[in-house]
Amino acid sequence: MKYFLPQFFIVSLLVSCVANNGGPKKFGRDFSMPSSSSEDEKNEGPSEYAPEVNEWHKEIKKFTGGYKTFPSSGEVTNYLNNQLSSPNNPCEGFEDSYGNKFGDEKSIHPAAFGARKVLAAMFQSCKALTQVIDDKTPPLEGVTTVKMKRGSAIPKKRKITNTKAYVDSHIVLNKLKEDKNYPGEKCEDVTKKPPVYGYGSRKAPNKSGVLNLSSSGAGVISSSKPAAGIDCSAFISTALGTQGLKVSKKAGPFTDNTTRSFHSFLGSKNSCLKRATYSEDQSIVPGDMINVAGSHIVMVDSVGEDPLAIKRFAKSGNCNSISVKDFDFTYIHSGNINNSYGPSRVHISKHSGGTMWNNLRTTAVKMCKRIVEGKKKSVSMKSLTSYSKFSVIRHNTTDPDCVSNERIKLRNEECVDGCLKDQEEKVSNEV
Amino acid sequence: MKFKILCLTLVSTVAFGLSCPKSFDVKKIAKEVLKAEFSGIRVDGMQGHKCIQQGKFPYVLATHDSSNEEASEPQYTISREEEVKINNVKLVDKSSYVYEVSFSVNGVDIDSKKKVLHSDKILLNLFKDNRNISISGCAAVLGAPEKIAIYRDCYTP
Repeated sequence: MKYFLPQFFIVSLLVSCVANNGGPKKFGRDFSMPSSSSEDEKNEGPSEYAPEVNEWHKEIKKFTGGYKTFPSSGEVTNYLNNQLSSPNNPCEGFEDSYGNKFGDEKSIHPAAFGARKVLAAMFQSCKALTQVIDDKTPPLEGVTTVKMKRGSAIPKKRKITNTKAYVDSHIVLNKLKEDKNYPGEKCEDVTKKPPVYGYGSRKAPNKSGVLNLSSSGAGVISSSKPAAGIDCSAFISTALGTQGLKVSKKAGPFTDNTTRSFHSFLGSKNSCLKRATYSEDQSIVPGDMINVAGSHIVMVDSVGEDPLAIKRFAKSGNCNSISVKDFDFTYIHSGNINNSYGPSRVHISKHSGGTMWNNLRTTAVKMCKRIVEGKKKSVSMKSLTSYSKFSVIRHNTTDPDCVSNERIKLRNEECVDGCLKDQEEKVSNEV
Repeated sequence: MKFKILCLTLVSTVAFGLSCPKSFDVKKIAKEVLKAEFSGIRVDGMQGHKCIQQGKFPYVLATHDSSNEEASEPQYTISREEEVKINNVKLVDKSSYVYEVSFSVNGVDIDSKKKVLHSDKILLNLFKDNRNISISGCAAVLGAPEKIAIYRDCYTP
């Protein structure tokens, strides 16, 4: 009986996905059960459902013996596995505990959503998600790096010297400045205290679980014009915390990690972080964190059809020719890019080299060669890299012990909650 | 005819960017890469510095790439006249042309002000195809040296 109930539930779910109740859709089409019988089709001609709908009905009919029997649990499992392209792609209408809707092939991984939330909240606007730094973006003005006394814990700090010049030269802030409706309701005007990269500017929630993104932090010198500093790993730690994504099963929803500690979690017991696996069809995906211990960490935000050009070069068999310039994805981070931009969304075309991207390239080249050699099995990216400090980290979101019901709240996050949901699909279309 | 071929080669080099002479072995390539490393590409705040202008490096891509997380300050200064000694070249991955190169160079410790023999390693990915050579030169750095050494004329105390 206990085995029958889950089986019954699963088949009921399948059937409900196609019932005439405005249920889930796949590829934007309604999968309602055909109202015409085969007898009707004989008299009135074939049904006019889309070919993939008719195909699906044929499969279900075969699967259930003409809708007369329940399949075994093994048959159901195999069928579902074949239908679902990824664990995050069940019937649309399924809403997970993050409030993200799945089923649409462009659904957003919760880690990537967290990064978008932090970025939007730092600028108090979802415009931060639509402006992308690329190879044409000029460096910021009105900001400089100040050298501190040798031996200081933070040897160099950021200083905004001219807020107007900084804002005017910033691809997001200059848009916000021109927007008559900015700041919106429940929002602050960050053009008066703009975000900036701040090495050593860490963040942590207060006792009430609220994290203030607008603090300057240790990475901004006290003589600077007002600025909100944040460094790379603090940004990613905060992003995970907003979604309750734990780094360890034993940890709480938020831990203040560095690039080194992120890396160290990969081999540890109870870790919720694992190295990404690459397959013939997939390499990096949104939500992956690309990390070089001791140097930098970024969150993959959106990817093109072939983000690391593996498929393209595998076709030609010319894997060694893959270049960083062939990559096609965006990432979100806080980094010392374009003269201290800090929190930003970046297209990989910004880069031609650098240790992070050179290492990512070697994983692409090696995976490409595996495909050319006919090795179809998925592989951990660990075996595709030669540099022990480099990793592509994927959160084990499917393990319930790795997701907390508690999440950290960002101060003034209400400002962007509404626009984040609207932006989800729009941003995921942009690479 | 030879003159025309020479002109064509020079023009194509300029058109395609960087180059890597076929005569360069791993040691020579490592030394070219280290020239860029010693010019301040890992030092926070040195992006756009005159020492890192690409024109000074015909054989490697001089990308400013300082740590975003940890202090990126030089530990040693070295003279441009000081010869870098390549102590060991270890092939790490044959199929990807990845080498670990151990080197040493005489320098001065910035804190103690004492002369030291600075020894360190760098992980390189050599390029063999013309496409990547024109974009990135002879090699890409996968793993930077642990400590930052910098030419004396590039260093600002």
